[in-house]
Amino acid sequence: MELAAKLKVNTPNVVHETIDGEAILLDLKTGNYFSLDGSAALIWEFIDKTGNWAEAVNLMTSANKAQKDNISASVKGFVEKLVEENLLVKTDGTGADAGELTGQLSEAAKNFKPPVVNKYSDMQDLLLLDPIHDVDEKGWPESKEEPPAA
Amino acid sequence: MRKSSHSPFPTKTQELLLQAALLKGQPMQKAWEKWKAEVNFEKEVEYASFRMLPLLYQNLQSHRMNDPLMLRLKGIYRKSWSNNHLLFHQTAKVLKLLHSHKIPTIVMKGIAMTITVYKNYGVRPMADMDILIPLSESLKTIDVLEKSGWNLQNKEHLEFNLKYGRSATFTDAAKTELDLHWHPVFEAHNSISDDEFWEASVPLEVAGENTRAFCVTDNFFHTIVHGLRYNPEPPIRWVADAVTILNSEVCSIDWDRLLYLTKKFRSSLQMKDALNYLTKNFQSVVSRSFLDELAKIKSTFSDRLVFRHAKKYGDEVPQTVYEKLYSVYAAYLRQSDLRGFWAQQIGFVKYMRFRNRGKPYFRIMLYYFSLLFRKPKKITGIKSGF
Repeated sequence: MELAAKLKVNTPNVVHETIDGEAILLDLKTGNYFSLDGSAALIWEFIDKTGNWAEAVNLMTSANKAQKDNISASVKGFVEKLVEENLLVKTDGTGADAGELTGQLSEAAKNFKPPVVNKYSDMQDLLLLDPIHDVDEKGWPESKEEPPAA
Repeated sequence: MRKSSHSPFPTKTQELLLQAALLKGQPMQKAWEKWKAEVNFEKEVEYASFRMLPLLYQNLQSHRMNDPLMLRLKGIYRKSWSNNHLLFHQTAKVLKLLHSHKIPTIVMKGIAMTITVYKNYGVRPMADMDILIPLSESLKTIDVLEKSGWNLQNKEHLEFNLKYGRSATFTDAAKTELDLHWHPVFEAHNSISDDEFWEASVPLEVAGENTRAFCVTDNFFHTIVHGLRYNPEPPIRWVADAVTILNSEVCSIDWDRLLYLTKKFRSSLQMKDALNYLTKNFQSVVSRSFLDELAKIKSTFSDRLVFRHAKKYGDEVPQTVYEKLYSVYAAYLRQSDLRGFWAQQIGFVKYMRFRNRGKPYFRIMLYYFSLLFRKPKKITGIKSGF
């Protein structure tokens, strides 16, 4: 993924919402469900707002120079995964200002944990889970017996 | 946990849950603590209460409540959010299909409430889509849907439903349920025009497809009239919907229009009971002048009979001859616009003749006779259709 590439959420096929610091994503075409936590949720929100993933890398590496290479590689891999899953697509448009996300991303970079895409496929089976009894303490879609493959 | 009584109103336990999901500050916190103390979360959350949990999660989260149950509630919210988006996506496909055949549509109930009132895709779990079309387009719509893989349920009742009912249910191969309505409420029927619901409707976009929804006042009216009926699974969601509309900062009720609809569709008893309950238990603010005007409306004998039946039996399957006859007569009166005792009785005879046309009299008599023993289906093999 070239740093110059601008990205946007692949609407209307992909719907998403951020709740309590977790971004939840649903690909309506494939039925795949995704969950992004911590820095992953912040980077997702940043790209959704600005379209500029290179700026996210800049902000994070400036805030934590000691881990510059690790951060660059992790974020690049994360963004490539999102593109590969068709959650993000290239765009020519320009995004909005990141607002308070700028500060939040810098903060996340200081205690950097690599962003991860948690993928849950086979939505039909997931929806059959009873969200009170069949799930562990993390709640749906984390199944009690065997967590779905990430 | 207290058991549900025969009533469209929540039990005391359900009321606590609704208060925890809808109120703010201290009253919300008190209700939440009481509900937790009264209910075993693992074993006692019945279906009606379960459907309130995403809304509860959102309210607790907005109050930054720290509770071990929050992660479980968040999971229930996530599931509801995902399920609803998939349903909206499906609904958009159906709307597109109907629009391609020049059939106008209004989306009702959950989908419209989600977009126009809750403005959140996760808080109101839904099991089906509700689409209103003009009565004049009903046969064409049924044909279009059937040719596109939607299966009409209870086909044998269609002719009766088109004349005296208000909707039909379809399912597709994936068991998605579609309720197709040609009247918004039973009370809007026969010669009582329901065009005004269409005229006052507002534009709405569902997953990229343009359609329409009831205006906020009509939505509130529909919520009350549809909700105040007893159901074995208490339809307590009407409380959440009504309170959310009343408390909304982005939409306000036109009280004159609400009064007009209440009078026209003979719903003053439902409206009085509902508003009395909401103001008493949910701090809802209702126009004083509306309440004064509502108090002046005199109900008729048939209005009282229909509402008494709705509260006590509602949508429950009748078990005795008395319940069956009461249910049939109440169903007839509910949709009839005839006035005067004799006109109504003659209308009822016509209604029954249409209801039972083509059915052998001995089977009808056997059905009612078997009700005396409270086991009609077991004895006759006949479903409740007479």
